[in-house]
Amino acid sequence: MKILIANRGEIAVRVIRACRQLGLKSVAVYSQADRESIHVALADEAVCIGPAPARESYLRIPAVLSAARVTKAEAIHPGYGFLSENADFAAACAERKILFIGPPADAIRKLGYKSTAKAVAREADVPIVPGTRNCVDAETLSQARAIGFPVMVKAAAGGGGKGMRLVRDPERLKHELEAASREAQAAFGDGAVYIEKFIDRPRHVEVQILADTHGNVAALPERDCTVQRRHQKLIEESPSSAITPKTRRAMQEAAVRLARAGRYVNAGTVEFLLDRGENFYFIEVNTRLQVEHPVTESVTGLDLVAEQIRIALGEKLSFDSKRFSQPNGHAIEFRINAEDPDRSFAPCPGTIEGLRLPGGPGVRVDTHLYADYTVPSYYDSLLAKLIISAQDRPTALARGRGALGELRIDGISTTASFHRKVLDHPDFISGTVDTSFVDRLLQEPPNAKDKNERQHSRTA
Amino acid sequence: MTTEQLEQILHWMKSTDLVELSYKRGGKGFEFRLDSAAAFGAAAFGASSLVSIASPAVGFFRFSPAGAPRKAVEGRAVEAGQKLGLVETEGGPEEVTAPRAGRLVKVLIHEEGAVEYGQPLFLLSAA
Repeated sequence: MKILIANRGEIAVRVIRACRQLGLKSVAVYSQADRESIHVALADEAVCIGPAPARESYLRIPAVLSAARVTKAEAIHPGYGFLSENADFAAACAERKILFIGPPADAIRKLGYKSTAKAVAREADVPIVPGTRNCVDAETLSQARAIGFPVMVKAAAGGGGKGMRLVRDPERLKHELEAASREAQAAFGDGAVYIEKFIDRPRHVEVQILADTHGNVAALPERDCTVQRRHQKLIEESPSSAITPKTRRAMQEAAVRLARAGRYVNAGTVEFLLDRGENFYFIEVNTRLQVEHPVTESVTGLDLVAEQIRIALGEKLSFDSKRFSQPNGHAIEFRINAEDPDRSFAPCPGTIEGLRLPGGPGVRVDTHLYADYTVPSYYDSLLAKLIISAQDRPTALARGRGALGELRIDGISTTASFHRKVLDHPDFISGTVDTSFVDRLLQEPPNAKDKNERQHSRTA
Repeated sequence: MTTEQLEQILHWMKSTDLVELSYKRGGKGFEFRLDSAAAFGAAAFGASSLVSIASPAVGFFRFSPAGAPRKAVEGRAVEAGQKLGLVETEGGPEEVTAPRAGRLVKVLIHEEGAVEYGQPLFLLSAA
């Protein structure tokens, strides 16, 4: 069996390792900008598929399929990003009798798009954020009252905050609806707006699922990804400090119902918003392996990539579907990105002049970095994932501080200094953050201790 | 131009596909150059007078479409733009053409051979 990995960076390395462990051959594909990338060196074979821009290489379906053909690869692992959630790509693989290591195209179409996934969620009795569509009329106020104030007015065609209004006072609803509609009309040429319940200071909690072709669906312990900046996750941990075992079970059951309703197969993640009252609302399904999958691996002992491959080969889950529903210990992942936290996380590609990776008990580093490697500017900025595990959260935080102290990446700025700051923040230590935590942290004036820290990280 | 300005330009260039950028002051003007598939193979042959013709895609190489005669033969002269073969890909065939007139000094590929993007297929000398 030979598996082509249609990806690059740390995730390509991760999948190559899984192939090796299972005794399977691996084929790397790469763009001209990635000739010096470590995944090319580690795979059994490597094929250049195009020039640097992703749309002409990693995103180009014919190029990836041709690479599979010339290398006689029988399966393709898409990793995350790029073509991983592309239903047409999954269908094109199936047509050519190439195993796509992910869900079937139909399941991606059903659960991979927000609008269709919400419809499936309604059917499957999975809670979604209460709301109503296109309703600027006389009934609006009663509908808004039924949802419960405060509510958000949102543009149907919208995005990026345009046409969005928070309404706390029912008296203001008519006025804000009109204003939002005008704004939406100006921004999108469509003034349709709808109302959704406002979730105050939510957390982002997600459930990993694994479903085989024999009807077994396992829901694994949750990951809490509340520490994010502009919807980009920075830290993920399991278990969440915000939920009780009862809520965990309810979320897992909802995730399994959704997976079954969408006829889902392989690994996937069901994302929820969690409010202060431990109510959770479905947001979306990621129909692929997640960046943060090692967090779940750390609290279950499972190898999710190996499970994905086995499922694609038609095998049953390697474990009883209820066996790993509770976390064993605690795990936290820190994303080390080539971004400068002092310059609003601006990407900073460049050459790694020196590299020292941390080690010790409970320390795992998934990375494609090596000393003298030049980080190309064409792709996402993830350099490494530092995954810390321990028997409990305080020990994990202590190990995390130690590991981030050991980590040295010279030559470019990274998010490591940001993580050191987070680990010293009382709200993170107490586990009471919400999704606005990063923005608030960045606005806090630096104190003397931070300055020392920053100096340390600069020389480090 | 100050070093600082130069650094800014270099930083910006890294975010583009440009491999060359000229700038004249007196008579104004600019000159840009984008990388092409040929650069990959060309680099391997240093400052040779030979031009490497690289594969435009990953796939299987064929000298001509089914039934048509093969034109690209070692030692033969070719014209600029002449078709030398094609690469069969999952997205359809992609033509390989001579970038300029010359003589095919070396044919580096065989019929239906697997090729990757940027792989040198022919070496061309100036006629």
